[in-house]
Amino acid sequence: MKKNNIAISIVLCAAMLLILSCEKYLEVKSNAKLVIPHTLSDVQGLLDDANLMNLKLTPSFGEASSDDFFLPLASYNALSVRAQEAYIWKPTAYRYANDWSLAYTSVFNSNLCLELLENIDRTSVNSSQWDNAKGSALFFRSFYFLMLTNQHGLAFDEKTSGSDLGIALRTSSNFNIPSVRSSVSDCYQKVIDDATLALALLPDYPQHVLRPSKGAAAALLSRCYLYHHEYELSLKYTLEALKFNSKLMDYNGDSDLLALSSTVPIKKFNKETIWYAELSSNFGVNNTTNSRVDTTLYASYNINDLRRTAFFRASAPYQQFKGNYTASGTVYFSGLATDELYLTSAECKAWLNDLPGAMEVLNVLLKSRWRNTVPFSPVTATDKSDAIRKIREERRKELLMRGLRFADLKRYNKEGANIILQRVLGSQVFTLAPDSRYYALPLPTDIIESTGMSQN
Amino acid sequence: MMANQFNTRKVKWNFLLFCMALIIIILSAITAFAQEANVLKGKVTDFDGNVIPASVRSRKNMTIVDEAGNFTLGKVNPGDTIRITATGYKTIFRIYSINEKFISVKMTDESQQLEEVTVQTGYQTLKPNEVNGTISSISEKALGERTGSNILERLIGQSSGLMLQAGKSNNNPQNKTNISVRGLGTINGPLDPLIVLDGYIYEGDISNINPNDVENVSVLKDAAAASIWGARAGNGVIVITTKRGRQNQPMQIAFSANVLVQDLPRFNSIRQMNSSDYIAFEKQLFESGYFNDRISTTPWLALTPVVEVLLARRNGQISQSTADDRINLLAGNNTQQSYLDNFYTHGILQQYSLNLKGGSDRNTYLLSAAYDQNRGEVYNTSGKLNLHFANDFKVLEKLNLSTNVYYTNFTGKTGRPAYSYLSSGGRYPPYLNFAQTGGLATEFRSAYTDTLAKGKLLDWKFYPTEDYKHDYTDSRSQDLYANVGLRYQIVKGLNFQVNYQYQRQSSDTERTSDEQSYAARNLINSFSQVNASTGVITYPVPRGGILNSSSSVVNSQTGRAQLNYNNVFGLHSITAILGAEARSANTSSQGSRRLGYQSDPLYFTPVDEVGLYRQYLTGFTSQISSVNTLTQTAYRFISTYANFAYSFKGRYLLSGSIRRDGSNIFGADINDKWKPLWSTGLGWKISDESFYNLKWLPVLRLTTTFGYSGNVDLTKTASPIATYGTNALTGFPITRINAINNPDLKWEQLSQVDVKLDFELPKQVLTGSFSYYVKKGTDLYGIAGYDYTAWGARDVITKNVANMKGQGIDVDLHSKNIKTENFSWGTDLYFSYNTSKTTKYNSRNNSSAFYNLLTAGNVITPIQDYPLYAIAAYKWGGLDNKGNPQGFLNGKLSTDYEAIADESFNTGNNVTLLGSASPTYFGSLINTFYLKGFSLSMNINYKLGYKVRKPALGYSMLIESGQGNYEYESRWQKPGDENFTNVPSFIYPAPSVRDAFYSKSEINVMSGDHIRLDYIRLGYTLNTVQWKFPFRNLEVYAGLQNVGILWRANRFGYDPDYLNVLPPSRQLSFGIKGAF
Repeated sequence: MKKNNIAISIVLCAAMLLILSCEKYLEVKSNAKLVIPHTLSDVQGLLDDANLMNLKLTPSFGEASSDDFFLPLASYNALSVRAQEAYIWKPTAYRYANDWSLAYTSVFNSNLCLELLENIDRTSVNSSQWDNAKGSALFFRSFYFLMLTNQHGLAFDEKTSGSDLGIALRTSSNFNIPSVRSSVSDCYQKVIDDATLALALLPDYPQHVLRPSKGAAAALLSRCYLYHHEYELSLKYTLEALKFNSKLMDYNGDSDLLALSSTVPIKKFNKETIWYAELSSNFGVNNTTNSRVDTTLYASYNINDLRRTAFFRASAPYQQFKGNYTASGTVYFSGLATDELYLTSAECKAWLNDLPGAMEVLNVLLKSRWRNTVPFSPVTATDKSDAIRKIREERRKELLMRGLRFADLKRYNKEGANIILQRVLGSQVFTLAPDSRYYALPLPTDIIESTGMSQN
Repeated sequence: MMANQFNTRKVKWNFLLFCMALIIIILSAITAFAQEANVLKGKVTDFDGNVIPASVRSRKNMTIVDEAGNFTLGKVNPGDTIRITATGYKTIFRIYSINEKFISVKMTDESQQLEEVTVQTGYQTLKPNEVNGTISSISEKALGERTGSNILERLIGQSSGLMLQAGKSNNNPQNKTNISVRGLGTINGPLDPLIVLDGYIYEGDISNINPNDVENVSVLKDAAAASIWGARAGNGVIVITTKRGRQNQPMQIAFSANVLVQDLPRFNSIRQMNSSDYIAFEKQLFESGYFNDRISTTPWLALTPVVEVLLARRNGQISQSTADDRINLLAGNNTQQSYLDNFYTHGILQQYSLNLKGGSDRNTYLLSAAYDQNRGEVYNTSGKLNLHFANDFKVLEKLNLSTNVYYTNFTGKTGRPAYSYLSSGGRYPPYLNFAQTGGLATEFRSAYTDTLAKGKLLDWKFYPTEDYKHDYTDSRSQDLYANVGLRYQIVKGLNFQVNYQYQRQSSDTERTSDEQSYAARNLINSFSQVNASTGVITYPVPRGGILNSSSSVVNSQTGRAQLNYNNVFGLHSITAILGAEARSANTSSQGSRRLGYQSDPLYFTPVDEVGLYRQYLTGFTSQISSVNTLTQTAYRFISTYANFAYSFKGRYLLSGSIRRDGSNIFGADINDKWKPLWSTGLGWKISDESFYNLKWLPVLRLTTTFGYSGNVDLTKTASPIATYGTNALTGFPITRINAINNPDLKWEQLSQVDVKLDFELPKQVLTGSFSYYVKKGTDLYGIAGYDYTAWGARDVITKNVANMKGQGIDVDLHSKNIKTENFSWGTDLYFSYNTSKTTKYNSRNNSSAFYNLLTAGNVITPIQDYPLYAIAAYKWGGLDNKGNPQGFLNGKLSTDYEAIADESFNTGNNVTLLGSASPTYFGSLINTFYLKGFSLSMNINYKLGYKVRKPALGYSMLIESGQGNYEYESRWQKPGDENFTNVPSFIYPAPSVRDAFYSKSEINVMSGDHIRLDYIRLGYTLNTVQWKFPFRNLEVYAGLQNVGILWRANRFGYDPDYLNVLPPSRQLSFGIKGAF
């Protein structure tokens, strides 16, 4: 019997031990790669995930609705119904995945980083990394807020933007907080606030152009103030950005260019790129294989304008675009680059009545695109409106397929440019009136359903 | 052809060697040392005292009993085994000891032997009448009916409720076996049943287990049986028990050898477009300018051979007559025939096994070895060695030590390209000839690549009949599965055991693409940088081969402590266990690629994986992407469990079990880590009651059980989880959120009610059982839509939100139709009925239910109130007088396919539900005949009550990817054709919405009902007594497997289980097995 008691005791002891060690045993991470982000390097890692922060994420619904390209009937017929509707400016009931989901993934990362940083002490040792992380998070968020506002809000108007609906300004990673649309004014103000904060925190130059920098934040502010009609401030930040980088590629020969006639002549991460981002391929409407370049736009390039060779490839009888800063025939660039700054600078100067200054800046850019064996005759302007018209013409020719044209169109129309867009499909013609509410592009249907926000 | 002969010769050699080994063993057994001999007398009767004609044998001698049942056997030595056999009775073995002069033997009827079938739950070995749960036990004999190297294949058709879900392709996690037990119990969770080997969860590759080593497979079907396995038992449990020695058993040597020859694949099941139609179609496409864009903008991309000819003609490079000649030549080719001629052969699988087992009163042992050698149908080769050692040893009177070691070593090598692997320019023409000189234009046009860089690049062509010699994958795996247990008897009826199990499976694969392979040449050329002025070529990807290697290790350990209690107090008996176990399963894997690789001398070249290089053909710049991977997972479980059964008078049986599982995969909240699961059951043997007097039904037992089991997806998590990686462009480390925190995540819960009736007719002429069950899955993983403004990476999050319900009937019937001394005929019938439906699910959008069911029925589509696998289709309005397919819009015929699609989305009025896409009735019928040592058995499987969608012609697919369908022949071509055909006319451009409407219309949905002859097996058991062979038994057999469909409901000749894929080929097997 004694032997049995010993045995039973052993069993009981073993059982006790087992229960005590249980909790610890179960605390092991089930996947060694899994991590609950909490350190500063985790935060930087979230911001360095280019696939979720930079690449193929910039809203492109606007670009798909713009007039720089058109679709031959066969290409149109091959599209999905949603894409066809988008092409002819018919309010389309589109759902996940879309520009909204892509941009807000980056916004989530930014928000999460800002929240995580609140629990990480900024010390003298980590201050530069800490500042870079916070500045980057603010920059990314304000970039996507700006691009979404430009797409889904009406053009800025001092009188109505306080009540016009913009986008949902989410500033928390908590998914239980309901989304609410803010006014267009508030949206621009948020972009300006965040970008201004970011400008103070970011380093002068980035380790890689996929990361934001002071130059990028200034370039973002330059863009934002332009759409906000504050030309003095826009010019101020344009010049600020150009302080860090004012290089232009010389199309007559440059280390960042291959033979201009080759399929993708412009290198990725070239010297003009201040911050690198790519346009999403949301509807697939304007992808290079389907779309052809607007014929009048193509015709506006002088025969000695090297962009005519660098940007276009014949696909008889029309032209396909190949002038991306992405070194890819199919992905469009949408980041911040010096060429845009030159054009913004010129336009702001013109608005501020500095016509010689405006033309000078414009001609620096154009000269770099001009065949150097043929004498370059600088562009001149007779008056302010002529200057602005010519600068905008060049803006279109330089910045096509960059995700800017649609916002420019609504900006010009707001000023009374009265540009009527047309889509021709066989015998059918569709038009978009200059004052159309459709310039505020519709939000995704499922977002409207799940949040109860009002549709455009 | 040479290789073929060589292999056949190798088969013969192996067979010869094996026979020689056998003979040596036999001889050594015969020439056993002689010893002083005695004479043994005895008497043999049955339990009622009747004399039976029995034979009595010792190692050297034999006799038969006289009319009084007495016998005298001479020359017996102490220690000899005396074997007493009689037809229809269970063979008896006795070890002769010197003191014995007379033995009295009572033999039991063989039919009584059935009672001794045991069922295994993995934790206990029980007799069928000791459990209330529904457990199908599949015997060694039934497992031997089919030949092959995978044990799971042998289960199909040998039990009710078990089905191979052919053709289903869910993305669900842990869905490797495609076997379902009693239908579905989950929507998005794991679908595999839990596999248990010798009492422990088996995480390795199931094909590592040698079927010849398996003694019994028990399928735990209801919750009462499965709930002892807790949180992972929701899909049923398959318990595999390997052979062991028995106490007081003389040494037995058993062997088997068999050869399985596979028929060539039956390509006619995939009906391609005929070559001349295809060529005519390509001509039409070419003339309409379809290829122009491709030719002008991407002149390097491959074109099909016909388009290549047409292009050459258009460019004026060849004359019209040359073009016609070349096309006529191509029209004579047949891709399928070319596959057969160049890549396919008769697969041959050889299997050999040998085992020794036996035992004394202190010790039992088993030692076995098996070797499988396979040359597959595309010349892929593999070899598998299994070694098994099992031992039980009584260390002390009350202390028992058992060990079990199972080792597998597998090596394999890929062969030639399998069907549909090769394409030409992304298209699949039916007129390819792989043996033609000049190679096959799979990716690039040689007319273009040959002219590049003044011919200084490497040859850029693909040679189908050569390439596999330079590009192949070797795989190796080793699996060690061992367990050791100590059992100590504390008092009578109560014992305590501790067990430990260890498994380590390591596998390595290596794909070698040597410098002559297309893969290596292509990569080198793509990155080659040519200096336009000097013509000098530099190679960012070094010249040489490519070595892709990956390896993974699975490690699992289980420790278990268990108390067992068995006791009988008069009319009461109690069986109970109480235990706790901890289990961990770790996997780690890594992969890497080496460039510039050569095997002799062993060498590779490091490359720049960050820099951007211009691609030679496209001009795009890209990196030489790195393919290094490293993963590691660790799963841990802790469980406590108890199980008891109380029986009164052997008539009433009350049972119950409870189990609590904890795991590290569930996040923050400790309450969700632990989950109790329980079951209970009640059994009543009605036929033992005094009021019961049905003479024609001597045994009747009713059981009912209820219980819970769980289902856990090892990949789901509740923590806010990020993974680390590296950004390819910057080389910066990145952190990526893969799932946002869902702290409420739990494991799925499945309840099941089961009512079962077991019965037996007198003399067991007919035995069987009926059971009815209802399964309810609650807290199933489901997706719930949410405002993705919060986080756009998903538009849904996984929650425990879904419910499903399944119900069904399982019937097992075993009848002895005829039984005479020399002839018998028995039938086993398995019948199952199963339906399932979703009872709660948050659909991710607000489209109509029917719209979502416009599927091919291959994946689970959860729509509330509809079967988990279901098919709906557009109502069909025939073709109009232009050959356009017509559907319905607002109840009227229409060809506005977008509006039709919109109506189906909004209201679903123009869609009709056609029913379940998974068989609702299925089972098998096995007939077995014996005639004087010959046995003949055949298994007929049936699947009824379901729909499948047949492959349909889609013009847009034919245009874009060149995949046709034989329906093209019968397409609408001229007005009036609409009266004879349902295949739409060809229009160009072909709108994909029109194709989609046609393929999803009810005209293309057909009944999947069919009856299949699974196998026929003919065996002959030698009468070893009569022939005086030194064998206990010896059987030779031949079989034919995957014979084919006997009847199908569809009139198109399709095999509903294998639509547009190759069905398993017929296999012919020959074998011999025996023991002495």
